[in-house]
Amino acid sequence: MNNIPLVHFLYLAGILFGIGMFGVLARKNAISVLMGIELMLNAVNINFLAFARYWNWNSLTGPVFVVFVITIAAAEAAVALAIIISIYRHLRTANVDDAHYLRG
Amino acid sequence: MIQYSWLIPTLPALAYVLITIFTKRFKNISAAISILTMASCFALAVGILFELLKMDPASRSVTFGTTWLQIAPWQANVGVLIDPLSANMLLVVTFISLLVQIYSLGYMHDDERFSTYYSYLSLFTASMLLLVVSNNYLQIFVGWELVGLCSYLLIGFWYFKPEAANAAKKAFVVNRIGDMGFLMGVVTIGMVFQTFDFAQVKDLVAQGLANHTLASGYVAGIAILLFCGAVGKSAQFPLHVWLPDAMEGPTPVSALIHAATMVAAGVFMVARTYNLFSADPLSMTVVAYIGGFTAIFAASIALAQDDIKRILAYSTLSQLGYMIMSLGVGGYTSGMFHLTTHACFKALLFLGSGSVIHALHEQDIWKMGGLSKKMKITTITFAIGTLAIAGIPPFAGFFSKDAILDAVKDSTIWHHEILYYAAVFTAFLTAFYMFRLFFVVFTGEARDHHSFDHAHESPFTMCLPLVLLAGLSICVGWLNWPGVDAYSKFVYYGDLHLEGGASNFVQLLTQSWLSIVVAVAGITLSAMFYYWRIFSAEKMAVTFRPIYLLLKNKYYFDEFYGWIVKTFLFGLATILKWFDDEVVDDGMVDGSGWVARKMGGLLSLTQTGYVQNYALVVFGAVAVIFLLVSF
Amino acid sequence: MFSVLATILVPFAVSFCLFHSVAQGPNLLPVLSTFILAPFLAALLVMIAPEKFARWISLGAASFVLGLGVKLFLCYQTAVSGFQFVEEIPWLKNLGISYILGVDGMSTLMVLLVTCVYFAGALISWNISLRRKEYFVLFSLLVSGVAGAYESLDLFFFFLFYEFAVLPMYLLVGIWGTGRKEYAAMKLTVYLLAGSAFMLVGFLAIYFTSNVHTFDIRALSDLSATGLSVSFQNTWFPLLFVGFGVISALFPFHTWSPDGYGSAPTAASMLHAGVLKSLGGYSIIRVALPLMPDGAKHWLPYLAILALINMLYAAIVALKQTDFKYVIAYSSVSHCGTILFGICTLEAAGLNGAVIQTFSHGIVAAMTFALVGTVYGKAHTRELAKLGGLSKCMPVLGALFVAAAMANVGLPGLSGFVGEFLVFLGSYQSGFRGGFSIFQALFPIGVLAIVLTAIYYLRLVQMVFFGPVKDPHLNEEVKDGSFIEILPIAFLLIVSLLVGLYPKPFVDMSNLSIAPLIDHIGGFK
Repeated sequence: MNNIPLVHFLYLAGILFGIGMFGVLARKNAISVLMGIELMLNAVNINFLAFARYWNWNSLTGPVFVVFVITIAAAEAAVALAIIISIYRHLRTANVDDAHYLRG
Repeated sequence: MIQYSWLIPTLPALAYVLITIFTKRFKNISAAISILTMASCFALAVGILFELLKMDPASRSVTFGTTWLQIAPWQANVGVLIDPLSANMLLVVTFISLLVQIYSLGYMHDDERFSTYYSYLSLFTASMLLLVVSNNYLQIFVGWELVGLCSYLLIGFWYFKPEAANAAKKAFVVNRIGDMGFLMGVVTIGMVFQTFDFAQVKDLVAQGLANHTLASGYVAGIAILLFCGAVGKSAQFPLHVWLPDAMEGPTPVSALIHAATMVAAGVFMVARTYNLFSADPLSMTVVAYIGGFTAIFAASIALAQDDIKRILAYSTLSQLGYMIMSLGVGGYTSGMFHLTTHACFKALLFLGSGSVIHALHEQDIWKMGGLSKKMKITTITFAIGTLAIAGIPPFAGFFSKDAILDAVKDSTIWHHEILYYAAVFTAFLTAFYMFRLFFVVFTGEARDHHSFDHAHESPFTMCLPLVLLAGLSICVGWLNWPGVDAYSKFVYYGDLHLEGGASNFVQLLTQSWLSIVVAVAGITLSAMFYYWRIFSAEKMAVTFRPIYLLLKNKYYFDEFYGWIVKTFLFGLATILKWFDDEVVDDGMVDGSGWVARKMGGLLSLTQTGYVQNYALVVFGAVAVIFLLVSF
Repeated sequence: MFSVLATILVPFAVSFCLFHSVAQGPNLLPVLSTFILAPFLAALLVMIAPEKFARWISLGAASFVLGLGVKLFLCYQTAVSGFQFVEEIPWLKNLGISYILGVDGMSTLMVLLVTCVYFAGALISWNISLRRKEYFVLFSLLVSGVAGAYESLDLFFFFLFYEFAVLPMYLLVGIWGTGRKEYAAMKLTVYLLAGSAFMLVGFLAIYFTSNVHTFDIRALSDLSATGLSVSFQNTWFPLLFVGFGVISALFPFHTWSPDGYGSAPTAASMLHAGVLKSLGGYSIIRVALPLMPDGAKHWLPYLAILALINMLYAAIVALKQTDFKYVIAYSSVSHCGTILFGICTLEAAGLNGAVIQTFSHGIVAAMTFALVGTVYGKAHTRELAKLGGLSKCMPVLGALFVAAAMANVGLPGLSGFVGEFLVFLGSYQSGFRGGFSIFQALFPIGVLAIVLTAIYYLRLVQMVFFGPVKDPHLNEEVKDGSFIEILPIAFLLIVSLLVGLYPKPFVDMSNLSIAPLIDHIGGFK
């Protein structure tokens, strides 16, 4: 484990983040957007853990942060899914572009 | 007695409060309260006079007071100053007020606001008395303004008549214009001398002039500012326009205003602050010429008026001009003496005209005539008043008017001969128009038979004051009977010196032949026109039509002032209102609201409603920040 | 009628006696907080009590507070001067915010003014029928806020109480108003909040720049401790002045005033014109002058011109108004100009004049608005063209209106004269000292205002009360004011008369604050 350099973790996280961002910005289906967000969060988690491991494994700050992120991501996903379902019931679609009532 | 002098203004003020709060519904009680307080004030005034007479002539001045407000270094007091001048005024004011109030019992008998009327009369007199007993400039201003308020209330007593409401407003506003000057004068005095007290200011002025720390021109400036107030209150040119209109009030009120209370205040004030006026020839000249001009100017207008009260109003203007002129030329005693005699005969004339109006319900003299057959007492007393104002010896007006003419003749003022001839000519005009009034109203045949048939002599309460005043109009002048000079020895400014110098009556008559001749000439000419009808006034009016119209329309001063107010003041008001509505309110206020809305509209374009646009912006922004930070 | 009198007299007597024992003995009752709490509790009580008790509770509370106010005025120790009855509770110690209440001579007068207007307003609202409960709740809350603002010695709480007063005003105008009430309510509120935004920025600037890091006005007034530089003062003083000025309807930020008063219900106009508006001038004297004396000396001569414009401009615009209430509103703007002008003179006489004029304007404007409201309630129109000859059917109200007009005009014997006279004296003094000869020019122009005021007020009296009755229909149905309607107006008139006839105690009281302030600032030299 120790011989995998830090950079590799960062590459992985970067790739995941990029995929997630693509999902958020380009996909029209709300579920896909949500999945993109989850990917981005996980990319961040990987970064946290990697830095924690390579910098000071004795400090629990990094892992604790990750636990929080996971928890909140779960809550967020639940709320987001509820909203998506609500939108779907209302508009009969899960396309994010169709929900633009807040246009100024 | 003098220590109770503070009661004199207080009692009528209390009467006002009592009547207003408690006895509005009880006519007789209200009148009784008012008349009784006034009678006690008169008694006090008499007591004060005798106490003063007992004192040493050099030290006839008592003053006391208490603090009204205090801000270092100033201390404004409310206090009393009793000296011959104020004692004289106290007597005049309380006596005339008393008679007017008795007279009003009959005159206002049927008015439904009888109690209110008496409460206003009480307040009016209280304000005037406050002014008279004042020992400082601030208090005199307070009384001064209150007098203005009461005149407003009384002139507008019949407020439902638009003319009365207008006249009341006009009186107040015109007075206020004069008061503006007065207020500036008072403030300046406070500023320069750090005190408002008459006596202290007098000393400081004398000191300042003596050691040249105070320019006499500066004092003259202050005096002229104060004089603005007197011009307003004593209805001198150019602020004379309110007084004739003030005739819209009940006639006894006119008597009160013209004889004792309001218009006398201006003359009194000049006399009271005489040390400021006499400090510099400039202020004296201004005063003298304004007075002289008003005298002849008002007399000329009176020639062509048809309303009995308006003729008397212009004669008041003219007589006040005499008094002011007299003060201006240095005739302090003669001015005050004329004020006193004038108070008697002018009150008499106004109350007499009230008696006529009461009988006929008519004010146009060309609808009267032959009243001497029906109203004996009124006719005789009115005749006495007319003779007095015309200056026929030995009636009261002769003595005082002659003293003024003497003072003008002997004065050292700039071109005093102009003033002298103007004054003599005014005496001629006065005799002419007063007898015109008398002949037209009381002699000849009745012109309007309907009202003539209903005419009757007035009730006792109205005749009693007439008779008393007629007696005084004969006798008051005798106070200054040559050789006696009781008045001149009582009221004087500076060191005692007797004006004129006639030692007996015959000498006085020969000395003043000119004024007697012009008075008789005026009466004769008047009789030729209106009694014997040798000449026709109508024909004269047609021949000199432009002049007649000019006089009848009072030189178009009302129209001129009206035009100024309408064009400038209301024009400015229109412009500013437009500015306020359109520029400030719609432009700036609603404009800034509009700008805010539009800005919001522009910014709202970024709110597309597409979630992914927002996300893109967020990421883009992060990227930009990242780049900025890293390089 | 007797129950009303009892509701007035009993709480009045109770508070009077209560305070008496407090003033004698140890300071058990937090007197100044009571001024804030009593209306606040009254509001709570009205909320839970049945609707029919709403007005009785409010009147009782108002009388209670009035008793306190009178007693405070009597108990203030003039020999000692300075801030008295001080209450201090630390609130956020780290930030230097404390709940500090205290009164000196000037604020004692202002508290008395608040209590007088509160009392009169509670009476004038007696016949409100729409949502009575909510009305009295908001009304009492408003008073609570204003009283707090006048007593606060902490800038933060001052601001807080001020905001606390503005919001009920919004609802009072918006719900119980007349005419374009929503527009007026919004305009008024936006303006007042804009003013307070200026204020807040100024407060924060002072807080962060000064060396003492506190919001305590007493500490901030010590210039050597705060170390506010002259350039800082010169920058921030006008901002603060304008912020406070907006509250006092300073030209050109005055248009909220006519619209707001035109639409507000009677008691709200009374409280606003009488009390809330006066807060502007008061805070300039309380905050802006002592905290930034050098800025004041630099700017006041120029701001005096603005104040003068206020005086004359509003008076002239009042001449052309066609609505009864708008004339009064503009006259109030004009009088506020006099107050600001008095402040600008920076002389003992002028500042005292401003304080007395503030008090007088509060009483007189409240009285005038009460009259207008009462007349409007009877005649159902405020258009001058339709009114006329009302004295015929309502002689008492007519007479009272003439008295109110005279008080506005500045007739001696009523309160308006004292203030105006002192302001003129002060302005002349300012010019006379030669420091800024600008005042020598301004003084005669200012005096012009007394003529203009007379013209438009008498025009108003003539159009509304004098002359023939224009609408005969009005004559039959209109009745003179009832006892309840006359009582508050007569009460305010008596207060005005008291000040006018014997101003010494009032001027002495205000001078207790002004004389040290002048020493502190030093005046124009």
